[in-house]
Parts: sequence; C-alpha cells; structure tokens
Amino acid sequence: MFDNITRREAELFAKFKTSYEFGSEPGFRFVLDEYNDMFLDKGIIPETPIQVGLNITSACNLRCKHCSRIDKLNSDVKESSLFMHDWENIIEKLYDGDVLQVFITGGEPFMHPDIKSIIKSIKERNMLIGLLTNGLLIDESIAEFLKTFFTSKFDYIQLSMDSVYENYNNFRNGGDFNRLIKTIDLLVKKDIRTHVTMVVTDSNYKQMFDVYRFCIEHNVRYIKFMSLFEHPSTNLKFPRDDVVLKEFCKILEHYEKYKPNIKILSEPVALIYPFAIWLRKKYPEIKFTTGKHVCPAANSSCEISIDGNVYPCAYLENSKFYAGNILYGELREIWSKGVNWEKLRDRTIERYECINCDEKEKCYGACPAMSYYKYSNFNNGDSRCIILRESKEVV
Amino acid sequence: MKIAPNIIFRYESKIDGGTLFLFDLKNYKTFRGSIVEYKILKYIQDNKDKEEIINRIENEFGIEDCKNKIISFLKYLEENKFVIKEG
Repeated sequence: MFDNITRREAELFAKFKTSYEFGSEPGFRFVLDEYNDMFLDKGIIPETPIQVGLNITSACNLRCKHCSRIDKLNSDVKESSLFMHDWENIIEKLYDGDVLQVFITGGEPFMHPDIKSIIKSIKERNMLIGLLTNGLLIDESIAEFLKTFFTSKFDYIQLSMDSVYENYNNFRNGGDFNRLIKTIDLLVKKDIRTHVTMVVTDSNYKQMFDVYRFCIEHNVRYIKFMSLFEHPSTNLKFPRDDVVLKEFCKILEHYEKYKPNIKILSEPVALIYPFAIWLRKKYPEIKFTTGKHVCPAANSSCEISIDGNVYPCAYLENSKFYAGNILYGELREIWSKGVNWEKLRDRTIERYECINCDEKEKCYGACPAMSYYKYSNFNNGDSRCIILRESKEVV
Repeated sequence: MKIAPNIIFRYESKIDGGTLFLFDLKNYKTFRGSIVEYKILKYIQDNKDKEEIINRIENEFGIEDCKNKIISFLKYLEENKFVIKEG
C-alpha cells in the first residue's frame, strides 16, 4: 500500500503529524479540537455552527480547472449577489448565533462591489475571518484596508496557488502569476496573515516542492496542501496518497534540515488512516496516533450560498440538503432543521464498504460528499481512500 | 473596554445546564462560565459601558449584590487580558 515509502520518510511524516513544533500549529484548530472533544465525540451537536462559509458571489475573474463551482460561475457581478442590506442582515444573524469564524468565498470575493463593507461588518461583530481568494484583484488600497480591519494573527487571507511561474496558468485559466507575486509581496509587507494553498491533483503533485520553495523565497509564513475534491465538474483526479506522500516527504526533508520560517498547516494526504494501518504493520516501533475524523459539515459548520440558502458545505449545495434561507429564518432554527443533515450527524452508521477497516471508528468514512458524488449516498466511504481504491483495482 | 482580539466566546445551553465557552487563541486555553458572564461579554462586545451593563444585568437577572459581582468579573477579565481598555 505504502511500500514506496522509506523508513526515513515514514519517520519524518510521523513527526510532522505528531508535533506542532515541526511546522504545523493549532490556530483556530484548537477551538475545533475542543469542540470535537466536548461535543461531537459525545454525539452532541452545538446549537449553532461555530464556522460558516459565506459565498458572497458567483462572479469570478478565473476559470480554474479544479473549481467545484465552475458550472455556476459568471463574469457579471450584478447577477451574482444579494444587496448589502441583506448581507448586513445575514451577518447580524451569524453574530446572534455566536458564530466564531466566517469564511468569505465565491467566485472571487474581490469581484463583489461591497466586499469592504462585508468585511467591516463581520469585524465590527468580532467574528474571525478567513478570506479565500485568487489574490489577483488585491491592490495597495485593498491591502491597506485589510491591514486596518484584520487582526494580524487570527484573520487571514488564503491565496490559491497550485503551481508556479509558467505552470500557474495550466490550472488558473485567465491567471497572471506576476500579478499574484505582487499581491503576495504586498500582503507580506503589510504583515497580513497570508496562507498559500495548493490543491494537489494528478497534474501538479510533482510541483509541491516548487510551491513550498516559492513561499519561502517570498516570506510567506503559512502553506497548506489540500487534496483535490474530485467533483464531477472537474476532469482532474487526486493521484494516490502513497505517491503524494513520497513527494511531500521531500518538503519535510528540507524542512527538517533547514528549519525555514514557514508553517506547514496541512499535508496533502487525503486520508491518513490507511497510512496508519500500514505503518503499524511495517514499523510498529514508530509512534503514530490518529485522531478521530469529524467532518465539520452540519456538525460544526455550514455554508450560506449567494442567495442566502443554507447547506451543510460547499460541496453539498443542492436541494437534497437545503436547510432554509437565512434571510427568512434564524440561524438556530435553520441549523436544527436541515434536510438529510441527520445522516451527516449520525456517527453510528456502519459504512458497509469500510466495515472491516481497522480505522473505521476513527475515520467514519472521511468526506461524506466524496461518497455522495460517487455513489449518491454517504455510506461508501471517501473514494480517494487508497484501501478502497486498491480493493477495486484487485477486482 | 473591548474584547481582546485573541478572545472568542459562545454560549451552549445544552452543556451542563448552559455554559459559556471562552477561547483564548493566544494561549490555547478554554474557560467556562455562566449565562450571566456570557451576557456581560456580549454587552462588552456591543460597546455597552460599565454602568449600562450593570443596569441591564440587574434588570434581566435580578441577582443579589449584582453590581459588585459584575465589577469583580470585569476585573477578572481585565487581569486575564480577556478585555482591553480603550483610549
């Protein structure tokens, strides 16, 4: 399963996963971990979501190959959003519902004419912000605005970058890498917390080290690697965890040797549990413990779409999972009445494809949306799981 | 007075008959409290001054020795740097 991984690589990865000092840091993760311990592991669902994704626009200046919303994007800002007083109303309801963190997403959030007012409104209510952007529309005036309203350590900009220089436009149709470099240098100069995020696919996994090196050269302090969500609207695939892990270990080797001033906030491995099973058999002396996977969708977070509709997550924005419209109801009430949300909250489901897996009590089938898109139910496990893949390859 | 940037909080009525959870993101610590303490923090967040907070809490909860208890809690918040003084 992971037989291409050497002992040295296995040790490096185990160290990365078990030590915050190695580069990762808890950040808001600390709150989520506390909630998992206090609530979700005990089958208690918080009264309201602690995080909310706010999809403010379907307008986007790019057409990225791996975008799960590519079919819904448009170029006309006017078509794509509510009025500012509606957003004010929504943000007030999030505040009343004790939401702690808001992710501003799109489309491209900076295509929205009221983006500054939306940010200001959220910060006036002391909620934390994670703003997901391609960064190409951020100029000096926006950066200065962000510096004024963002709390430097706890609010952040997440910039998408899936490869560097001449390869950048292979993924980001319509992109301009030189423009992105200007944005990064500007945000870093202004000390705005900036995360660079790379979505790892079968087309770019060999460029992970290049992206990591670029970030070091440009003083980016946080980097995230995310495994591709294999949405039906993309032709790209996630490679395999063993292949990706091998590449990621080149980064860990460099990190261990040179200790650069960057924090690696996540690894690109889709499912950690098969690796744990393999490691236990191959190198039982290497310490490696896995935590419980709790999918946040409908458990601690939800997504509000451009028209105010509430869904469990960005990948389950469809009528089968509609919970209500935030403009016409209170968050607390909507959160408790989502259609089919109980399936995402039920931690006792025995997922039949995974029934014999040693880690099923920790993994719980990983990403339910991945199972849903592949099999139209939540019970078949995450289709990126290397164990499930190998079982199908054998068949 | 305002809530420190490293502090976030929320109230969970299903936990132990109702519990305030205050998270210190700087020191990675969690503190628990009551509905009254939650309301006080919420009023601080809504920019209410000390006198107004005392009036509102007295009216809402009718607690004995309310003023001193609130002053004592505000002192606790300041000492732990959960709130910062403005100006």
